[in-house]
Amino acid sequence: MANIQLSPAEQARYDEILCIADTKLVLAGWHMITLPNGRAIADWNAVCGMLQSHYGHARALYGALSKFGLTRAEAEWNRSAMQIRSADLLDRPPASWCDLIVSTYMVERAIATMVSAYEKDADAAFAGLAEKISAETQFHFSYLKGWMKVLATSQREELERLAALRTKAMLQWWGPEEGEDAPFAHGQRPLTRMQLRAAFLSDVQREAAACGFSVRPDAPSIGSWNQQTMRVSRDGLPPRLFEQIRFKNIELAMP
Amino acid sequence: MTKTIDRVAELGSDEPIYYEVFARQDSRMPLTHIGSVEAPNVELAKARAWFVYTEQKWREFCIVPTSAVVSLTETGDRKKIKEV
Repeated sequence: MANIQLSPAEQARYDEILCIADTKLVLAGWHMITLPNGRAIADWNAVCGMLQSHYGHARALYGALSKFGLTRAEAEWNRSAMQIRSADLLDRPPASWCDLIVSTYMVERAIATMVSAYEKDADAAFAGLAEKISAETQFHFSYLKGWMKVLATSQREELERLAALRTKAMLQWWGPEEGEDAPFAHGQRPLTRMQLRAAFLSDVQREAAACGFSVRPDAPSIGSWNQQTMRVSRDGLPPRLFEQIRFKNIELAMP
Repeated sequence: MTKTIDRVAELGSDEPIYYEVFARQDSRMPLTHIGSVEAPNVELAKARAWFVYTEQKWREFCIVPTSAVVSLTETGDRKKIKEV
C-alpha cells in the first residue's frame, strides 16, 4: 500500500471494501477450481459467467481503493495468504455439488447485502459501481436458486444440513453484536452491521423457503472476530487454497 | 466406458424440459428466436439463457417454455418446435 495517511473514516471504508473485494476474488477462485464439476455445458457457461463477474467486480473494487493507496501490484500479486481478507466460509472447500451451490449462495447473498448498503453512497462513482455489481449479480441468484430448488427435491436433508452449516459460517462475517462498527460510526455506510446481518439472515430464510427447504443455523462462534479482516480465523487463507487461487509468475505478470 | 447419467442428480429433472429464447437488439427489430435452453425450472432456465445468449447486448430478452408453444401449422411428426 502506498504511503498515504488515512483518516479513521477512510480506514474503515478501505477495510470493509477490501474484505468484499477479497471475498469475491476467492469465490472466483473457487469457481475456477470447481468448474469441471458443472453438470452440463450450460453449467460451465453459468459458472464461467459468475467467475468472470467476480473477477471483474474484485478488480473494480480494488481500483476504487486506489485512492486510498492500494496499488494493483499489492491487490493482485504481492500479498501473502495472511493478508487476503476473504470470508472464513471460503477457507473450507466445498465437499459436493450441493455444498458448492449452498456455499456460493451464502457468500453471494452476504456480499449482495453489504454492497446494497453502498448503492446510495456519497461517492457517486462508487454508488454506481455498487449498483452495477447488484444488477450483474441477479442472474447468479437465479442460477443458485434454480439449483437449490432441484436439490430441495432430490436431497433435501443434505441441503438443509449444509445450509445450516454454511449459514452459520457466513454469519461470522458480520461479527459480534457488541463492539465497534467503524464504517457505520464514521458515516461510511447508512446501516449497521447488525441491521445488515439481520437482512442477510432474513433473505436467506425467505429465499430458502421459496426453494422448498428451511435454514436453521446454530449461533456462530465470533469471539475472536477481527474488524479489519472480518474474519474469525487468524491463520489467513489456507496455504493450499492460496496456492491454487493466487496469480502466478509475478515477474511475468507485472506490466 | 459409457457414463450412466442420473438425470435428476446431474441435470435436475427426469425428462428434459426446454425453453425457447427470444431477443431483439432494438425496438425497430423483430423479436427473434435465437435458441433454446434445457433446464428443470424457470430460475435455471433464466440463468442458463442469460449466460449462454448474452454475447451481445439485447434490448429485449425473454424465454418461453417450449411446452407453451402451440403450433398452428405443423402437427404430429411434422411439428418443428421440439417436443420430447
